[in-house]
Amino acid sequence: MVTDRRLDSRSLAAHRRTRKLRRNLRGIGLHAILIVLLIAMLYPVIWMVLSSLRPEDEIFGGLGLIPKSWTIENYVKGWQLSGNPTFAAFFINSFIISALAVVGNLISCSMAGYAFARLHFPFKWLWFALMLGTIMLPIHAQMIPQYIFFLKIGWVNTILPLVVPKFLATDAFYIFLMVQFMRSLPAELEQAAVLDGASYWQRYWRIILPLTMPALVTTAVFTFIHTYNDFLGQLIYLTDVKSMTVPVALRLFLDPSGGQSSVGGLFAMVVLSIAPVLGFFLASQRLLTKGIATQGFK
Amino acid sequence: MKLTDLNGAAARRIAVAAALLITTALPALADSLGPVEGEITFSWFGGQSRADKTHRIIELFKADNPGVSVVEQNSDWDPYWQKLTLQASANNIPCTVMMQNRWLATFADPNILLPLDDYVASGAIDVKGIPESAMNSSRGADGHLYQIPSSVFFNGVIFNRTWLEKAGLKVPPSNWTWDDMTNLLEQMKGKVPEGAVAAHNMAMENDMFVSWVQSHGDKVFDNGKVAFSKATLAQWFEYWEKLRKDGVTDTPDVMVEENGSLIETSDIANGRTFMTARPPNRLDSHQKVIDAVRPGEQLAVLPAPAGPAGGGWDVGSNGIAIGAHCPANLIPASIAWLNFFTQDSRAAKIYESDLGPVTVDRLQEEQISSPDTSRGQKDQILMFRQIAPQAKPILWPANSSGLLAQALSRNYQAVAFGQVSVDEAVDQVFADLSSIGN
Repeated sequence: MVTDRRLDSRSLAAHRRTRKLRRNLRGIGLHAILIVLLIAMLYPVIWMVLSSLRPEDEIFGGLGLIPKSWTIENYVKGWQLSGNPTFAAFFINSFIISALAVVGNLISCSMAGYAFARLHFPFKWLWFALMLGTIMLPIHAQMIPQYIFFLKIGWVNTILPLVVPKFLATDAFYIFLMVQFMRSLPAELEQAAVLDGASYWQRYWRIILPLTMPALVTTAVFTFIHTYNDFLGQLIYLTDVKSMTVPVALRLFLDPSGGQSSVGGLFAMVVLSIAPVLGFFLASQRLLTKGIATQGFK
Repeated sequence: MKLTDLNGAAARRIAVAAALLITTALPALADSLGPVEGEITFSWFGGQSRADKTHRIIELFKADNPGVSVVEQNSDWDPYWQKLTLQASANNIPCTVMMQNRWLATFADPNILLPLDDYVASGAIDVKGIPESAMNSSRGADGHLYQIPSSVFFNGVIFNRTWLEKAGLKVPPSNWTWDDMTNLLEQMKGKVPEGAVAAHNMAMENDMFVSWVQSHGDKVFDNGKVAFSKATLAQWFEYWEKLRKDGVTDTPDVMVEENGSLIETSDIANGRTFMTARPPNRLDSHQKVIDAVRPGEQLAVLPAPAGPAGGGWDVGSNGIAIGAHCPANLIPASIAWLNFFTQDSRAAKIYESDLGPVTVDRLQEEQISSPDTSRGQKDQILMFRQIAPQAKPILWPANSSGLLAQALSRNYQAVAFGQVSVDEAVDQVFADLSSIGN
């Protein structure tokens, strides 16, 4: 019996070791596959980053990663672009517009979202449906009437057409996002505040807004990325070279009409232009994930 | 009373009076435009290198005209036309804009662009030395002049001269034919470096197709509608299908990738093909890339081949137009800028026929004789002079250039990938082009 027990415990231990080994091997295999996929996906980005550090005439010489010679000339030339203005001005223009758009959307969309989620007013569902309907309106159908309107009031070639609408809750997607989040908050919290005599504004500002932080961060991140990367709006409303933004200026490195392109300068400035978006995303990653996960947008 | 009813002395007096009127009154009209001052906007297409050149020219202009300031608007090709279309819809076209005759029909309307005929007649706008053909290609369907051409472009091919000479073959003459092209490419097939092909499949290339049509005696457009026959288009597709099946051209997938590629990534500039369709004004830009990738190799240009009806070259023009809603007080400054860009020697020297040979004959001479002018620029000017007398400029209806390019591209791809027959593709091209002129 003792021998049998020893045998049993040995075979059990061996069985456990085998299972552990299999589990480890499976883990290693899965990780190996993921690492290969990651390298395959990141290769073009890594190639672009390293190509920005090689002489322009070497860039299309091959697909190898490591440059034969290293240079920061692409960054110097790219930053200068046409000399006056430099890319510093384009970055500043982009940051100003993106920052104002973020502030505008946070204020206006959260207020509109609170109204739709918690207040009662006539034809609320009709207004809500109309608001959602604007998401389905193609941008090309709105472009010419909007342009003519902004031209008539003298806003073309200013940042106002790109910024002011954000303060008027025109991004229906973010309002919807806020509404969904605010509806998930316990109504008892607000009811308690009502008993304490809190006004609408106090309930919105002191109770709802702090609890809506994940949705606010989601709105801020997406608004920043969307505005920072917007090409068409900034192309048509900011016409002077001096008021150009990063996405519009990046297009000037390439010349499909037959002129000389500057791919090295383009790669260098693309690397720099990715940094703010990446930084903003990484800084708010935790809240962003929470914000998305709690609103059914999985 | 008719002029023929007058006696000789009276007729002479009227003729002298008329000559006096032309030589004194019209320049007076030009002078009466008003002072050259104010802030004008100039909008142009092009990348960084053209922006640098344009900026230098603007600085020179401002130095010559201290009362004028110029706001610079610059976009690359596609966004430029998107923006201009939107500006036109809102009557907000800048005072001076770069225009091209292939897009002119879309904008040639007195409510969008200012008709320039009166200013040319008065001498306010200087068109001295600009060929009549280029001026004619700058007119709208209503006959009015809407742009002043500053450069011209024509259809051609770029080829690797070094590979040709290594193969023991000679550069064809500029009046070579489509059959010569076939023979040359067949001979080059086995003599290009490993991994390269003799030619890019040019069946989808707009410029080469219109050369084929006109060199076979057809018109591309007539009265604003498609005028070439289905048979001519079918022959075009079959011409390239034969070369593709013989292994002379690139494969369909490479053809799609290569079509319209940037110079820096193109097969011709990277030594992966012997010949491709490219306007000759791009020779220098291609040479610069191949100098780095395959040092010592030399590229060269030829016009598009001729056919039974001779050369089929379409000569297009780039120019400057004035927005119809430019304020009257800014018209003198706009005209001064237009004259400076098209006629000033210093401006032409800076721009270097970058968009095609400069139109003014005097400036062409200066660029040919200047030691500073590159080989590519000289070659394209000399080639333009050879083909210009036989050129057949096309009056492109509104949106026709883009539609034709799309129709050829989509339908020939279907043929090359074996999805449809040539006849089916031809029918589909005509269906796709049916909206032109409607």
